[in-house]
Amino acid sequence: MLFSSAQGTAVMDLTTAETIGTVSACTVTPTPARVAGLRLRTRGRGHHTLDWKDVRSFGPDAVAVEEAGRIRDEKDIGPGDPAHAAHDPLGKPVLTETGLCKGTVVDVEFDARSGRVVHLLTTEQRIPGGELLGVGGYAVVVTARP
Amino acid sequence: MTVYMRASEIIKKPVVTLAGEAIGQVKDLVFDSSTGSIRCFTLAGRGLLAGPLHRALLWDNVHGLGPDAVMVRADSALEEDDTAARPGDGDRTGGDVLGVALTTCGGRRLGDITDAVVAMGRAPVVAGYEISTAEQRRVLLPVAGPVTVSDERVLVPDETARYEAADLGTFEEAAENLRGSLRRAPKEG
Repeated sequence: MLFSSAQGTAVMDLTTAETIGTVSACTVTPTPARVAGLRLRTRGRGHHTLDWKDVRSFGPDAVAVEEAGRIRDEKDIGPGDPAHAAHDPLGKPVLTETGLCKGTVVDVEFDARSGRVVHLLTTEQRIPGGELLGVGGYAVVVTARP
Repeated sequence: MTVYMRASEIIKKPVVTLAGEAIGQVKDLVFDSSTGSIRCFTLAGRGLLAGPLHRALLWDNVHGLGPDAVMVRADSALEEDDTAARPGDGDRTGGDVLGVALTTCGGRRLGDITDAVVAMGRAPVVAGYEISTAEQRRVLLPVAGPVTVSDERVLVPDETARYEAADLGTFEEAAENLRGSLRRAPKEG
């Protein structure tokens, strides 16, 4: 599914059946390319992050979490953590490892069951997840196709 | 296909790690006066008001060079300081190829070097020079074969003069033709 269609999806707590927040962004990590975490918009200020491994199921209408305690405040996450907001690929330029810009990331196509990133969609092309080398604060880096 | 760019165009390009973090931007190029190629880059921090970074990036540690960024494997690709950018004790004075005369082995001065032409990609190399001729024309000349460099002149084979290119678009063809002609007529001795 496309990440743009998952934005705004409610995140529900399976123990209380309450809504904790809504999905606002995702973070992506390479080798293999997969969604590492979800950024949530919660009530009140600041952002919270949910690690992908704590997602029980990613349904079409709601994301299920075992318990609300799994949600972490973004302030407690260091930049080295794959779930840190710096690893959000949306809106970042895509650079090949030879320094060529291939457009800006506009969407992420991922498998809702495994979290595997199938494609990165840029303003210019679809880049297979297998070509992803890194997602950082400045750019998304992919291998250079011969 | 090899893509070429002028060395001066590398200035201001961001230096990006394979993890996608920008760790600086290219401030200046340091040429190696003994080989005529580029020895290292000096870097500045990112942003308008950022000062110099005082950490050099050796040419050999560049992972890939492209029109949009200089790629390095990781932050550790940078030197701890910028001593590599300063002329060492063993170096001759000068330390720059710019402004030096490009001369053929036959003794003809082709012009003064104003810029270097770099082949981009995974193994970037200096593939030629931009020179300003006696008639104030700017032309690009590929280099191949034996090249000797001093702080007065860069010596190139006589054939080089016949393969000048007017712009980067025709430079590849000129470089191909020069290499072809040097292969056909191998040097004696």
